Amino acid sequence: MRRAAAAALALAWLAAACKVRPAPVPPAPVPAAGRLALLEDVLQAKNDNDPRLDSAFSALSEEEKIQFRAKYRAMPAESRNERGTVVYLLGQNLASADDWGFLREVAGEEPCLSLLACTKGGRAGPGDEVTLAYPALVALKRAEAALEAGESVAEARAVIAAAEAAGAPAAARLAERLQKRFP
Amino acid sequence: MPRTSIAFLALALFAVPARADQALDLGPRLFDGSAGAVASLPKFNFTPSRPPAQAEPKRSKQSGSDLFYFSPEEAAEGMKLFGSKPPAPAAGDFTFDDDVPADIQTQMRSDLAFVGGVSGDGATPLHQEIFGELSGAVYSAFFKSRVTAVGMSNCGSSNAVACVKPFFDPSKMWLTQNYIRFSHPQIARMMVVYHEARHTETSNSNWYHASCPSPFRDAEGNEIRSIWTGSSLAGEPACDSTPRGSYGSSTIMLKNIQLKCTSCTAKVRMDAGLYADDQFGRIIGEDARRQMIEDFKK
Repeated sequence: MRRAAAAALALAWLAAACKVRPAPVPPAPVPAAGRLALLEDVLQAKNDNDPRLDSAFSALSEEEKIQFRAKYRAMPAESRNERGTVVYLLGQNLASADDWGFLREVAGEEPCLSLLACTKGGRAGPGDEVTLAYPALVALKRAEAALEAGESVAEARAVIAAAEAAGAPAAARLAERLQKRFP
Repeated sequence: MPRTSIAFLALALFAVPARADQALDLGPRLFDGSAGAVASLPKFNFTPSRPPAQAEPKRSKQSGSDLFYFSPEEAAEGMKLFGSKPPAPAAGDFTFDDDVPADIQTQMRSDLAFVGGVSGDGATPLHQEIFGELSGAVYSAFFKSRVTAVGMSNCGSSNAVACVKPFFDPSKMWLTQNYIRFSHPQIARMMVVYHEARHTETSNSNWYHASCPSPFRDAEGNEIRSIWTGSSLAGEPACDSTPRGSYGSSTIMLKNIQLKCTSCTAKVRMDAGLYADDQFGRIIGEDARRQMIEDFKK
């Protein structure tokens, strides 16, 4: 009798325990190395329509942004689309002066003269002007969006001024148009 | 040298008199390998014959200022040779020539799959007229109904990415190594491919390009130069006077992707806008430009 009662009690306890729902677990923060690895993966895929570009890189931490900037600087200058992709992602995460400083740095880079070798060959080298200026153009589009929203106006203007001074033809043309549009 | 002339010269050599005393020692001498014995040719005034009418016509000289160019006459030649047929319904997949490297085939199929997967919320009237709805299936059908084969060529310029030679085969697109050699945004490759696909249309004279005005300046007064070579485009056959040509149609495609694609990443839409705005510079004629600007608002 006692045994039966004890067994019933144990069963009741077990049933009650099973009803207890675990507390919701907050999503684990993505380790910085994880998003850098994710970036590598996206760049390797060479698919500009990869939905992760829109969903997986929001709210980058300061550490992640530093890693992304280092990644940008380590890439060959001729990797125009890859470099522009990194600028694009960092442009979605603008918060600090350093973030804008990086866009200004990109916009003010020496013009890439040829897709074969950015620093060589004169303008007769292969490549169209939009692709040659692609990272700077991405930085300018982010500055344009800021001006349209009336945010970070001084920082955005500095990006435009840097592109105009650098003189990559396609970027300089867009910078000139933006100067006129946002006098 | 025309074959007929070579054959005639060969016959003349066989007609050399067998006896030295009959030879007129006025022409060049032949060394026949035997010591002392020298055969000589009669004097012969060679006049090249005119090439036959069906010989390969003179091709447009590629100035190198922009990309591959074919003339209205070459488009007419293509029409004469291959007929003025409208694009056929997409019967099947296009083929790659054997010499198209595997990595170029893979990239092109990947790029076409990317375009084949897009969808959008409506399309502008000009897009409806040229392509139909903004849909991957529509873009795929557009390409496959026009391009039946893809081969490799240098397309007349070290900067070229692709070309169509209507006088050779109006349904064939030629790619260069530049298609994968460099790092372009994906939409840039598709812009080139769809620009060239429009050039396959013999029923529309392959949409041969118009000559750019001279001087050729943008709204800000800057000289418009080739984005491919940096050369001046003034007077070059590198413009379109209609929204429906290769520059116009690819600009309309990109602008619709920028404005109306719902399945594209923000990067693809941004890229489409960057390249479309640049291509728009090749549209000359106020009416054509105004028509496109109005179209993009709808």
